[in-house]
Amino acid sequence: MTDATAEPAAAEAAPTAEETRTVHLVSQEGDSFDVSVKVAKMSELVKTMLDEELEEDAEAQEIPLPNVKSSVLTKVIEFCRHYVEDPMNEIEKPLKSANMQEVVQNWFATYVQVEQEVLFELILAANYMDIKPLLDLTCATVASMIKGKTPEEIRKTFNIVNDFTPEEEAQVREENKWCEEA
Amino acid sequence: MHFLSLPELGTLARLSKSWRQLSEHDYLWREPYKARFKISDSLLAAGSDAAVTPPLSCKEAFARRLLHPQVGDRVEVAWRGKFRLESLEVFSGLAWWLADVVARSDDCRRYKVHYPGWEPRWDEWVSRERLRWGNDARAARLLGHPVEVGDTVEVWCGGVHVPGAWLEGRVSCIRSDRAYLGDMLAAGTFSIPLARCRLVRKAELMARGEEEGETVRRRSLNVACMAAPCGCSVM
Repeated sequence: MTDATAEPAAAEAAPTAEETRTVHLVSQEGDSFDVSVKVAKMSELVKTMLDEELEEDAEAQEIPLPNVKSSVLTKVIEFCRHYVEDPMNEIEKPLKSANMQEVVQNWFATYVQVEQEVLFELILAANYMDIKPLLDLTCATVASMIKGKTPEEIRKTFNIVNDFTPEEEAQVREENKWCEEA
Repeated sequence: MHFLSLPELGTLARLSKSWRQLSEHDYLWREPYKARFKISDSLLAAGSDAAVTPPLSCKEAFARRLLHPQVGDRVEVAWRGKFRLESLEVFSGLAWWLADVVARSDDCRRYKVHYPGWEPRWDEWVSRERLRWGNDARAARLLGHPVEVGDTVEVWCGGVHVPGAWLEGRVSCIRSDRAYLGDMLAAGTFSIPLARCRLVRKAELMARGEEEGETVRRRSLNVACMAAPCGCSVM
């Protein structure tokens, strides 16, 4: 690529092709989001879809992401943009604290302070787009939410509607009993 | 090790339909599955159990493996009998001997086990009911909780040349720093320093009906478990 990072005067170095070239990420609704290749490559899925042979002055490539809604994609891109500037700490396993402020930098801890529906969508998107740091962050957040709580306590705390019938609930409990024993 | 423990993944599944779906994602199960059964990525990709078709999700594979241990798995085998401890006190009751699975019947109901350190002539076929996975994870979760009357504890009875066994008993009484194990009272008092006990079941949890499945399983175990010869000692 370029040896910009090797130069001590990196600040003055010309931006790399990855930073100047952009791609259009297209959401489920058809909205197009302009991001630099460097940011887009945070997603392993997008990375595999990128055409590296493109000419310098070729039109920006369109990457369809039919499983991701615009509202979620906006949030995902926000994460990726910040991450390339200031990467997140590796999250320790098991979690050392239920307080995300003590687990990752402030920006990331604030980023995941969202409604549980949004958090849920972010996990699905991170899984689909294959963005490991975002999956780690969102799953660690879920872990911090449920630590030491019963299902009923978790539902109450995070306004999760229990949409199981009593029969289904009993069945799910039975199906997952082995998780307690294991 | 992953962010969510197995019980937490189970809890997640019980929240709502959408969380249940999410809780079954391979992403959440792959690492715990690999760690638990020491499976490499290549083995995982190939499917760890060739007999399994079509490919299972990691969660399904995990559950199946727990239910049907494979050849090479380290398990524990139930023995009911008398065991002499280092202090020469005799424990009479249920013990769990470390063993390795060396063969499995086609219907996954019977397992040939080898006791590490023992000669192969002691290898034997046992029913699935007499096998369990180690209790380490459960004990780790209860670490730090005080041992109280009614709780179930286990005492490690280590051997010199063989790994040994976990002796299991219910606490009937606690005096100063010793626990008296109830099951043994009929055969004389058996007591052990509390420091040597590891807690594996809280009485209050059992009372709350948290472990009904466990009670049923144990009842069937009592029937299935053969009496070990007397004087069995690991010293």
